[in-house]
Amino acid sequence: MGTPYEDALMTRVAKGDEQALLVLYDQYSSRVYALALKMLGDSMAAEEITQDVFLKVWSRARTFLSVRGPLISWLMTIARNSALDRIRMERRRPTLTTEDDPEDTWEVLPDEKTTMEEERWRSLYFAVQSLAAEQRQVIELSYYYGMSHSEISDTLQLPLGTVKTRLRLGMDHLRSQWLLKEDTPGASETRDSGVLSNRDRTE
Amino acid sequence: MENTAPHPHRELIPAYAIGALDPDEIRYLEGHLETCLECQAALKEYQWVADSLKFALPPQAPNPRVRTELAKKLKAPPNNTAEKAQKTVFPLRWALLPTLLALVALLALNLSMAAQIRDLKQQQVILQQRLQTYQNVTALISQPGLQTISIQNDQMVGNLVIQPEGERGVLFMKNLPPLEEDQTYQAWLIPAAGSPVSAGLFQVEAGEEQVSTIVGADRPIREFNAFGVTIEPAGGSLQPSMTPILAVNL
Repeated sequence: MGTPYEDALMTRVAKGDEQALLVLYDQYSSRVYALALKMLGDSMAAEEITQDVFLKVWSRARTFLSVRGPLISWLMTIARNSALDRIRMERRRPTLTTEDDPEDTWEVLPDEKTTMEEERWRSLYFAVQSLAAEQRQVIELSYYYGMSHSEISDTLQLPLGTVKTRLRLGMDHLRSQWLLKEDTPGASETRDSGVLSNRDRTE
Repeated sequence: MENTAPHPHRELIPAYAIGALDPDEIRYLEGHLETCLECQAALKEYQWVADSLKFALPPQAPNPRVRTELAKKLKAPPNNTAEKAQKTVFPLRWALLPTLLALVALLALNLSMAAQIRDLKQQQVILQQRLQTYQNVTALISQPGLQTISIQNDQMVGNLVIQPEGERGVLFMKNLPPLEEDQTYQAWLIPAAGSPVSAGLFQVEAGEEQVSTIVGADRPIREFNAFGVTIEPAGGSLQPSMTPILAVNL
């Protein structure tokens, strides 16, 4: 569920308040850009997608319903779909590596200013990083590049069964990691109604 | 109704949640999910995991120019009808230009082809008439008892082939010059007494060295004393308007 603050902000955006949209931009552009950059691997393309996402928010503000989930989920869904469209349109091929990108890092310890949401996002990141490299690779190819089992198998020149097993084991690991954290007191409320609502599956 | 059977589909659920299944696998699993509450619950958890991947990245600020460009675009009027129409019409006009040129060219080609077809049809009619004439001539000169009379005047030379008991003959002439469009050659059969009788009209085409035409009247040629050819207005005359350019006694 979105917050009253988000409701008020989106109402202003829907009425054509440019400053309200720029507030949204200042708050969430780094998340949107990070996702676009991860998926496209190209800063110029990621910047275009970022701008495109907020222009879509500008034109579709009236369609946002806070009861369906948080605003950030809606934004990030638009971002992922826009990037996937670009990947498919340009037939982009992912850069294959199992090594960590040195720029793709997060501070291990949160500072005092870190919000609860940021702390959760940080834990998600480290959970993904804790996966075996080959499991993380197939999960990323699927989620960030929209590839199916068969396409991953062809790309990595691996047997289809191997791809399926690695993906399943990786997802099982993440599920156990995140559900374990979310089962700590106070966390389950957030899972159902907070940042990581899975009800926001469409734009 | 809850499905209590084993769940071979279970291992497909994580991949389905993340969008990695192939189309045939999707159909296979979705058919099972319709009735299996346990798998539906498992799917919900894996979907939560998949959706969370959007956030499992450290934030990175884009170049400040992105915000600047966004702010500019926000200030552009989104529903300015006039500007939009102008932007739409102007490029639209130019976009239509190649199509219009192509249509004009096609129309011109069609008109040209129509004119050519019309000319060809006219030529076809002329050729058919000639063919008929040749066939008639051939039929005539194949008959027995024919009489051939020579005709000559300066450079014009030819023969008049007649069957005295018949009503028709064939005129063969060389070096007859083509006439103007408003003129025609007219053959005459001249009786001993009375006015000349028209024996037929004929034309000479440009470049045509020899002409053959059927001449005749409504009674046997033996009833006439002479044969002549004049130049008359197109469509012929009731009586010769000039002295014959060719004349011969029969």
